Amino acid sequence: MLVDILSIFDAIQAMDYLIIALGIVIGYIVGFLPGLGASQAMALLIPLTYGMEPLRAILLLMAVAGAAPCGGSVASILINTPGESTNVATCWDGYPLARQGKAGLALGAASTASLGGALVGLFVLMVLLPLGRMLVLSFSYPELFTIALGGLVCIILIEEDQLWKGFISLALGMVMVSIGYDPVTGSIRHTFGTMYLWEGIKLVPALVGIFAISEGLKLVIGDKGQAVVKDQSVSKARYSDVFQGVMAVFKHRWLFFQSSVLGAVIGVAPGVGGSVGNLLSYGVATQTCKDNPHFGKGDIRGVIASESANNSKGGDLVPTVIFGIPGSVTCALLLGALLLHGIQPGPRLILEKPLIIYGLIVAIFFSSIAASTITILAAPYLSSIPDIPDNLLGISVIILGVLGGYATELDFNDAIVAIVFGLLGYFITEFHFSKVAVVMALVLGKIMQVNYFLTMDTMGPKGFFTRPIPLIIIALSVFLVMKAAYQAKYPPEEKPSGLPGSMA
Amino acid sequence: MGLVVVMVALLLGFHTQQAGAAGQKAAFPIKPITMIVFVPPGGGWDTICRLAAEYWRKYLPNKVSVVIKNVPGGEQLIGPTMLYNSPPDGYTVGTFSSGAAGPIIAGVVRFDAKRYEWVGMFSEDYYITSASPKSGFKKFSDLQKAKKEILIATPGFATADALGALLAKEKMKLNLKMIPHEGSSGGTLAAIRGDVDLVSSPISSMKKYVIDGHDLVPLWTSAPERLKRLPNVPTLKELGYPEVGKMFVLHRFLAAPPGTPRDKMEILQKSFRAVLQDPEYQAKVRDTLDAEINLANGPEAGRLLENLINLLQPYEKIVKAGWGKK
Repeated sequence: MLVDILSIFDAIQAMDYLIIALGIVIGYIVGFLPGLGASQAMALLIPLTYGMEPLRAILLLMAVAGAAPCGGSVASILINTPGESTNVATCWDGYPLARQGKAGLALGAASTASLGGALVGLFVLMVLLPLGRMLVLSFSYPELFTIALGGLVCIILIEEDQLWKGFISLALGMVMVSIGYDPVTGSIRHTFGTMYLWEGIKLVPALVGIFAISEGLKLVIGDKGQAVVKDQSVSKARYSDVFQGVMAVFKHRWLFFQSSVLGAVIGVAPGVGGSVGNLLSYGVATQTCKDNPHFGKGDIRGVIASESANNSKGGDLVPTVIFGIPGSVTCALLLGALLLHGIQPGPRLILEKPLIIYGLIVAIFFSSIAASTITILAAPYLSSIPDIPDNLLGISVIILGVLGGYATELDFNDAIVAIVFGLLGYFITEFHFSKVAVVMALVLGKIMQVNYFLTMDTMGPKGFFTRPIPLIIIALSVFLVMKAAYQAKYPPEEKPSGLPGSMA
Repeated sequence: MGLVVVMVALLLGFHTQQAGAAGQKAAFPIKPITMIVFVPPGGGWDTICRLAAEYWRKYLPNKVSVVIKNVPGGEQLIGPTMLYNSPPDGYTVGTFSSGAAGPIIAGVVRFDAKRYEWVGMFSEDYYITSASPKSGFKKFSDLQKAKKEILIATPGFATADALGALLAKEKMKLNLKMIPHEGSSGGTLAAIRGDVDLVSSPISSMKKYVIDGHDLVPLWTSAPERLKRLPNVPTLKELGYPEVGKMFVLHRFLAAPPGTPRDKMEILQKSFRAVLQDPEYQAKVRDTLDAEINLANGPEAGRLLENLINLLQPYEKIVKAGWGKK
């Protein structure tokens, strides 16, 4: 396949490169804007592609999808607003770094990790395509349940001395997951009589609220002993800071590989895309990086872990290409676009129309490189955004957040959700609970609930213990929790000051 | 310079004359029409709506455009509810699924389906029900002989798949246990893996696994006649269960709010029918989307929905249980 792919360059004309460039610009911008994402842009572009050749349409759409995560990481780092749900975990260390005057470092690391992650994802796609079938089929209900469980366990364990607060935050998130129509029992739960909540709390407005709006409120209301202090002495970043960020990814190369492969493999599970990948990768990183961990306070490794994992489009494309079953929302749109152009997705696509697959790969390749380059080149200018006075920045972020919540689906109710979550996030931080745990529960909780019941209905409880992956994850989780409980009771020698107390 | 002015004036006058000769602009529609689509972008429904919208423009008077407005959520019910409450001025239309018969019977909807005005149907999708190769089932009689529960993957109770499965269980006397999944693709993968025994999908989705590939074993189809590419797969009609066959069909309706005036409905219906008769549209629907065209006019479409609801009425209790209601 690696050699065959070169044939795409015969098919691509000069105009196609311009189209890819257009896709990159659009993707980067929508990635940055909170509430809007690659999927909205792709949906709007699809009618415009009717007159185009299918290959050109695919190049445009995938260029948008490939550039968006990088744009999203910029918003996460500079204004604590995940540009897309795939950039959530980047906020947790990226934003504290920006407040410490190290935005350049964070941006450099994020863009490099994102690019690297995309390349690893594509490599995984190409290598796995022959094996892909077996891999996609190995993700069944117990596997998904325990993967989600594992992610939650990792996050709880960060809260070493305030374990109970972590559990409560987790429980809060899980309660919110129960809102909506439950396909298992058919009941409609906690919807306060409105149809809007039938499908539960929408993730994007909730995230925009709990990160952007709550941070905006904090900036405006004032600093009352918050964990992340702004370092006023450092002004505009220089390219040397950005370069340091780039080198950080090489320095922590094992973490990078671990995260990008994890992201790509998670992407293979259909319906579970980059939004889960970045969270899980972050969770795993907190447990594997034991050397002076200060996650949540500006640990560059948090940024690397998140960004390496979230751009693994390669992984999402595996079930899409092999089964015609989308691995993520952007892949679902891709499939729709293919259908409209008269191309049948499915097992035969790679055999009958290989150029389309090569086109996907090439578009992601170019858009990832371009988006990362844009970020690196613009970093010194972008990093002066945190220097804006707090109340001005805060108000801008609140407005952007509310508009972003609304813009997701042009639904006023979404803006309300964003505001409610903004208030919730503000109080969570004030009382030193864990926003991270709430968000993880919101994202992973649904996966856990659905797959728990599916396992019980089809395999019974033995489904969790007779399959290798679930068994390993459950055993590991139990071990880690017991280890943490033991260490809480019998603390080892004096720890360095980097113990995370409250999460920002 | 003066010559230029004269030329321009002549050209303008010529143009106005032409427009005048072509006659008045039609009174309706004079601005874009909004189509409320009850799913998010991407996916089968959204795809066919965008396709139809493109073609409809050609046939609408004044060639106005049709703008898609995605209003997802509420098990595909928020969109129709919004449509129901929209001003009946002919400028709003929206999607409606035959699967809505489930929630209608369960009594959870906030509209009276009988009051919609019907424009027509985008297409009809017939279903294929297939078995997992790991289940050992190769034909319908195998299911009748099964000793333990047969697991069938279904999406929520607002879809043709689930309602069809319900009728299959009741009328075909099969020992089916429904395993609800969030969407149809999850169920299909589950069947390929062998975690469930059966799954149903529209032909367009299922053909990848039974015609192009052999991941699943086709048992029956709800199409009126055997499919050319699956000559050995019987129809539900042949097996003696035509009513189950009627439920296992996804009718994609296009509706307008109650009270939309007769004259505007006629314009919408006539122009939409022209889309359905457009050979290019038909080719795309049949060849790429593997669906069928149904030229039922407005009132006929309404009656079709009523028949489906009546078919389901005897099983009201079961449907209500599926919605968590006693």
